[in-house]
Amino acid sequence: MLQLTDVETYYGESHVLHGVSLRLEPGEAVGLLGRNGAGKSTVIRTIVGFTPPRSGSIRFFDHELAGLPSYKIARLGIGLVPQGRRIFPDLTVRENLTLAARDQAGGWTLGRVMDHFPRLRERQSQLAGTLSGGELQMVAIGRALMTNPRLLLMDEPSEGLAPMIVREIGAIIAELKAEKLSFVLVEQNLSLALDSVDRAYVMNKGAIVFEGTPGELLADEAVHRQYLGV
Amino acid sequence: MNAQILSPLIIQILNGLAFSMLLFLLAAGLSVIFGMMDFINLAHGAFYMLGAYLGLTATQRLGNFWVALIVVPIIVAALGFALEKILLRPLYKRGHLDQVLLTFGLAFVVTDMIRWIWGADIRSVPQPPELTGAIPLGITAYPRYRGFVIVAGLVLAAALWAIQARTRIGAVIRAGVADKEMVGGLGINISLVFACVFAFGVGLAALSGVIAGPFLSLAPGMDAEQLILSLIVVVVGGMGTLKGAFWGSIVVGLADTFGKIYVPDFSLMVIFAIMAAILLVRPNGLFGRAVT
Ligand SMILES: Nc1ncnc2c1ncn2[C@@H]1O[C@H](COP(=O)(O)OP(=O)(O)OP(=O)(O)O)[C@@H](O)[C@H]1O
Ligand SMILES: [Mg+2]
Repeated sequence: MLQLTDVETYYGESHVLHGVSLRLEPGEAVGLLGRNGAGKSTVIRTIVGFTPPRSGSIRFFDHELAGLPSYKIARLGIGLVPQGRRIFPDLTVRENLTLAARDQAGGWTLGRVMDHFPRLRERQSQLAGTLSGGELQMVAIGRALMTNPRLLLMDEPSEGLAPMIVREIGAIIAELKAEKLSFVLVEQNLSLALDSVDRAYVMNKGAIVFEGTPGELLADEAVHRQYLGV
Repeated sequence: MNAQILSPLIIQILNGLAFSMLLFLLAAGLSVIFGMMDFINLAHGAFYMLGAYLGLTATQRLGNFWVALIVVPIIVAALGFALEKILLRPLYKRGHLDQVLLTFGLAFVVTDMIRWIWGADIRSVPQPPELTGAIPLGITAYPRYRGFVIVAGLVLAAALWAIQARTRIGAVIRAGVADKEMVGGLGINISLVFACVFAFGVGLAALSGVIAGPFLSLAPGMDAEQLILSLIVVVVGGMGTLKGAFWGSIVVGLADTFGKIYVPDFSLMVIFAIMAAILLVRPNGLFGRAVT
């Protein structure tokens, strides 16, 4: 359903993605791993149109995404949980969730999101700026789900969270997987990533350097040491 | 204090507030446009002036101030919508200098056209007959039209606040001020939202001009003074907040009115001094948040 082919992305004159190709099948969960600065977020930003590619193609079902404005890309069914969460602080929790909601028969509703995140129900009238990191992450995931995406892109959802909260987020991701939602998960937390995905890509210096199942990745000492170890 | 001292003071405070309301209608648009798109619109004062002159003609031709009050802002807002699409949109990604140059140029074009159409003489708009005379206020009395300006300004401020705080479009605007890229990433056409906000802001500037007509006089240069004061309001109140535009307008409107009475040659300096003092204590303005 998603296919990137030879994508080249620049920030101004600085060339960041070098011929990135990756794909994702319907219902699949794919991990995107790599050290700080490897280019993971840039892949996500390129897909959603924040930093459009200079060349290469991004197919989503039968649409070409390269060159579309990001609101059109989102409306094709791509949900974004961005790095750093980017929750709107002056909006209440409920406003954050409903701001861009797109209804769909049998899809995500405010009620269903709040069933998944009971803490957000308690805090729904509170300004989002007053929430804790874990709660903000729940709003970020809930906000993306409310657009009823066909594909969810999550960029480091566990970043900066306490281990207990990371486990909670991991449980939510497992639920999404059980519901057969297709997603790309960018993670630095290797065990969280490998527990959650069917297949993983590893990036280094703006290029894909490994593709395989979590089992294959765990078995490949060299990739581990070179591209993932700290 | 006796009535002889008190009543001029009350009248000056009310004059200051009436002027504050005109400023608020200008600053509200300026501030939200800046907060959302990081766009400095120096043509805002020209739209105010255009509103005032169109208000003059509409009042004369239609013989009715109230119709002018409704029709003129709609016409100017439509003009603003078109200008945003054609001229201004390509500038958002450019630096502030390009924005300042182009909108300053646009202001010149508009004000020169006004001078060409209406001439350079000082003009004034007749007060609507319903609002001539004075309102008795116990120990003193106050011109009815200026009373109307204060009430209309407060009602509009409350309405704008309700839109911003209570409606979905208000939530989109608040979200856009915080992070417009993310709003787009959620599937909202933020460019269209901004074009509408821009047009609405320009319409408010024109409304301010129509209201100012029967109260201040119309002359070349009226746009520049009002633009400078409303820019100061935005800085004092904080970028992108309606609350800041409101309280900033009160501060600047009162300071300008009293400055002109007590130190007529230095009234703008009084305002700059107050602005500097506020920025020393609150670098982002009264209600602004840190710019990142
Ligand atoms: N806005 C930007 N302008 C210029 N260069 C940027 C910008 N954002 C990122 N970069 C550079 O692009 C490269 C890839 O960054 P990217 O954010 O995609 O990495 P990442 O893999 O997501 O890292 P992290 O794990 O730290 O989030 C880095 O070298 C970074 O310095
Ligand atoms: Mg990143």
